[in-house]
Amino acid sequence: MAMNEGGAPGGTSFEDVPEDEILPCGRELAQVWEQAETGEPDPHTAGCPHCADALRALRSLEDAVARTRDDEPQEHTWDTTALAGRVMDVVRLELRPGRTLPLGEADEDAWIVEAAAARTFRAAVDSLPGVRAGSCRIEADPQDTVRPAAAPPPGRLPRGPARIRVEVQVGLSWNLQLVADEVRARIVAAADRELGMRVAAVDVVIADLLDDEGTEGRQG
Amino acid sequence: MTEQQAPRALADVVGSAVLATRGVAFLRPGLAELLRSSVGLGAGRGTSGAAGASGVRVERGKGSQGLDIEVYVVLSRGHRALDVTRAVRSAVVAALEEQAPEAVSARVRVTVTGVV
Amino acid sequence: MPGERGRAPEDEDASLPHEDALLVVRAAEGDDEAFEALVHRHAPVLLRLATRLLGSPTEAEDAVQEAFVSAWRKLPEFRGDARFGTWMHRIVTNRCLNVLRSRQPVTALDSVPEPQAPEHQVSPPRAAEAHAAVQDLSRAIQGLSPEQRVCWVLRELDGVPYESIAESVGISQEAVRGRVFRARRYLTEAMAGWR
Repeated sequence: MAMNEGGAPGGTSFEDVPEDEILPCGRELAQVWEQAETGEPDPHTAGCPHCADALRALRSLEDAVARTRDDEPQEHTWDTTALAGRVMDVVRLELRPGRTLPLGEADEDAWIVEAAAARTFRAAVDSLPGVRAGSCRIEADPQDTVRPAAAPPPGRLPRGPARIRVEVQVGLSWNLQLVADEVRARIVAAADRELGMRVAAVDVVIADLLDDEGTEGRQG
Repeated sequence: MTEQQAPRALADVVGSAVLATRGVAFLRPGLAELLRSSVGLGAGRGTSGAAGASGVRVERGKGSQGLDIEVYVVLSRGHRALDVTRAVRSAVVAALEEQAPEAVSARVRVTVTGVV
Repeated sequence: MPGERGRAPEDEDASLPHEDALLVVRAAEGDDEAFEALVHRHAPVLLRLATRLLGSPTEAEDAVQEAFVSAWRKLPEFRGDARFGTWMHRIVTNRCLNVLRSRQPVTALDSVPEPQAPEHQVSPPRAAEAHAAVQDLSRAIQGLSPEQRVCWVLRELDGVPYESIAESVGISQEAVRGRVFRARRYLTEAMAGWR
């Protein structure tokens, strides 16, 4: 998303302030201000009244900026409840439910959208200490599909058992094989107890290792 | 009850039965179209003659005397999804037998679109 | 480095970037609750940014709301090579820039205005002086071009490094420096008349 240069009519006239404005002492104003910003020492500026004037102007602007910032409400006091509510009203009209997956036996006509099933599985994974689920994709396993009495409805997957792929962040203290087994067990249990979805396989991908504070290990 | 009015009236019967089912939080309004478009397989069956924009669709089955009924529901957490969909189907069939006995051999498809 | 300068925008709005990354993946796969959590985490900082850029809280709310909706739509293509906070910062900045441009009258303003002679020049109490300076500044900011205003606000009020501003608005670092300089030049002149 690039800024459209010169996109606004008349916008260019604001650029007429010369960039090479020279102070009476011969210094460029832009350079004097930039040195002040970077903190670069300059023996000339220290003793020059013209540079001092220019710096005083910059400082008084900075003071006004600081006061403006002080006048703003603190970040945590911004009330964004109404804003978030309006955003979510629009979002819920534009949901992305994902695939429609079969529930129950091959001859039933019950389904669940992928987003809802994934949320259930992520919650099951999150119930393990120090483990968080990220990506969770689910599809009916084509190899395991029992030929149903009728073809699946348009836009629906065949009524086979599901293959689930989940990415997890895990704490450093976990044994990786053990945690993969635990994640698999939680998902299989949730698929049965909370959904009623037949599962063919659960692929667990360890996507990240976290230190004990729940932050990324490599950030130390 | 004319052929034109029948599906809409039946959709109300179906909708009430679904909402009275334990574990159903609400019907999902308008999601049928969304689901069709999201899988990129076109409109499937035509929508003409369909009734119920609030998570229930009732259509005359193609070439048969039965009805095609689609229900889109959001469930309350803590209920097993499959059990709720089975209860929904039973409730719909029972309601139709009682209130619209002419609507025999309905095919009821239940889709869970969310859990809250 | 004085004040807040030198901080990347994401440093102040994502105390737990890892949690953000997780929520982003979930939201991209259609989890609206995860997206709602992201909205709650980032809305305050973005609302402050938009208010600084636009000067109007109402317009700022609209801009942030539209930015989040647009983010929800684009999320499946968001590849996570930037942090969510940085990405949102950019979306809000560009939306505000467009608002400022559409607000901009077509008339050219080719000279700095006469410095106003505010009452506080005759040594008023400090608090009043501070208040007047804030008011003078907020009035003077309105005289900046949209591009100058965006670059200057990001630099001076939001403390964003030049290179990040350049990335955000899609222009060179030199162009950003030029705009910030011209904005400072204009504002110092408009506020005090220092020569």
